Amino acid sequence: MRALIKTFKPLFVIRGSVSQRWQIAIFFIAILSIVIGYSLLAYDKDNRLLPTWSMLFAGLQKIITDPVTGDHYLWEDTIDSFCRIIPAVGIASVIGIVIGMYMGVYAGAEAFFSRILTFIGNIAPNAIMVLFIVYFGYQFKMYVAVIVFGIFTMIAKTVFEAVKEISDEEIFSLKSLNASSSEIVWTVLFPQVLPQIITAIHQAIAPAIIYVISAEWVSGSSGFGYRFSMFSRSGRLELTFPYLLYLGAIGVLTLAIFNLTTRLLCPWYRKETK
Amino acid sequence: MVQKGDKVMSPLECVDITLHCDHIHKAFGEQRVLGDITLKIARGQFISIIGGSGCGKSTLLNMIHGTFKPTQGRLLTISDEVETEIDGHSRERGMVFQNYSIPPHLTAIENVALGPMLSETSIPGRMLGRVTRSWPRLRREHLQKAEEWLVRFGLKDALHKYPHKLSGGMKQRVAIARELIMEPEILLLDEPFGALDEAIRKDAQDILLSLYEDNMKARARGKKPPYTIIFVTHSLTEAVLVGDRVIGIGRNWDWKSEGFDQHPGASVIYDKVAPIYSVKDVADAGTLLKHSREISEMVFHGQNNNRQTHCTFWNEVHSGRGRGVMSGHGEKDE
Repeated sequence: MRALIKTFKPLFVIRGSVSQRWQIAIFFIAILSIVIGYSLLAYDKDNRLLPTWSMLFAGLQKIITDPVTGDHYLWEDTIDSFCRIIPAVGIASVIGIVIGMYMGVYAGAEAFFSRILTFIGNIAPNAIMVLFIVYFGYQFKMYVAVIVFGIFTMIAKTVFEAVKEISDEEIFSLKSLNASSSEIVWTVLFPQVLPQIITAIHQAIAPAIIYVISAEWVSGSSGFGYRFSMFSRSGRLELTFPYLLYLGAIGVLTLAIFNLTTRLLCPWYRKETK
Repeated sequence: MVQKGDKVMSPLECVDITLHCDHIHKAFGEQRVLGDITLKIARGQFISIIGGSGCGKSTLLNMIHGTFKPTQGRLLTISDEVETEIDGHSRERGMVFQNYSIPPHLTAIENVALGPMLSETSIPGRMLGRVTRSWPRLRREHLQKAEEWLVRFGLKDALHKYPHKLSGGMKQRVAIARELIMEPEILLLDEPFGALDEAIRKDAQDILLSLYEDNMKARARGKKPPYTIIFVTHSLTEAVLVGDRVIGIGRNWDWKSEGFDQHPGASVIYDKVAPIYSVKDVADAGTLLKHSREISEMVFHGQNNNRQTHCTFWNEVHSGRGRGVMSGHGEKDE
């Protein structure tokens, strides 16, 4: 008994530390409790809302390859949605990085953009979608416009704050090394804030997925949003749950990709030195 | 230079002044920080500036660096008898700060080679140079020069390390090398070793002392001494050890005789010759202590009502007591 208390005690100490092995064990406990909890609810005889495991498995098979029509829903939706998200995130990143870098070094640019960005950032992109639908119709351009509008302000602000954190001393000593302004900004400061830029882009992806789903929901032609709008009408939960798990998995994969990118592009970067 | 025909010039005439602070005042809004600073700094001098916290030492340094302009008075750099007023930053005046202002994404050697890269090339120039292969060649030269400096400063094993892998002392040595590779007229150091512990500090001070020895050698050969350093520090022993001239800045003023109704700001209240040590010397604790005590009484404890009494540097030089690079009037001073 005493040994048992000794084993579990570190878990209940404030700011205590837990070994790697324990962390993994606790993670499995968490997964297991979700699975067991779900099973208890799903196999309850009054339950009509949660599909059973066998239904979910059949649903997963159906969305991967439809036995009747031969469509690959999951894969096609992924392609459709990400063909909208990736170019949009690219455009928003370029706009955000340029604005953020110059705001960080020029007081004039900061004065020009900071309030405007706060204002724009507070307009819900799903609301302003009305305009884009009128301007562009239900076209590729509309999706891109919604996403870009929704995320470039965030990216610009994060980049701006990262550049702003660089000390005056460093910039003054660069100036006395005879660097031109654009050299200071793009040759020295840009690589220096690249880790924060990568993080900013990563953090913009989750909202980008939100905006693309709501735009697709409204336009109703293809993509995740379209699929979810169909599910909501037909109430087919055994298809919806696998989709949600898939979206979560994509998020985890994206995180891994971005962490790897940071490690490859910025080998000098250590979070704890910040 | 020193002797023209048979006439021996007076020491003051043959001194090569490189920086002239001509009655400088600096105020930030209502707050007067510096009042009436007049200094002439000769080429090759290592000047320690000391003073209480917030008395304006860093402000003076930043003005010389080019970050601020004086509210009144003129700041002149003199090179080959041409006077230029300081206006903005320039490669002629490098500065090293206490808080390790070196970019974290460049290795030690890249950091030192950054100066030549930024000042000798431009972004389009480097792009074109990649095509014509001229940039990689130039880059190799830069890196080689950077390596020489780092090896001299004892960083042979740290050439390709990123700053987060370097200790505070190593980072400051990289920062000093980064400025010196630009061959500035004046190097400004703002409490560079303030955050270092005692043992590492000694190594860093030795680096400055070795630079001073270069100055002496150049002087003995009749050449221009290559390094002029203005050095702000909190440590009195460091000031006496490294500098050949100690300048105290403080807010001591005699309001009865000078009759200001508002504090005029800090001014020079101590300016004297300091003993010269070489790297090999074991600093004589007694002399260091004597000097430190005198400076401490005058600068920090306000026992100096008349601003001029302890500003005797040029008189000392005049009477032949100026040593080090100032001793080059004909005979060599040991």
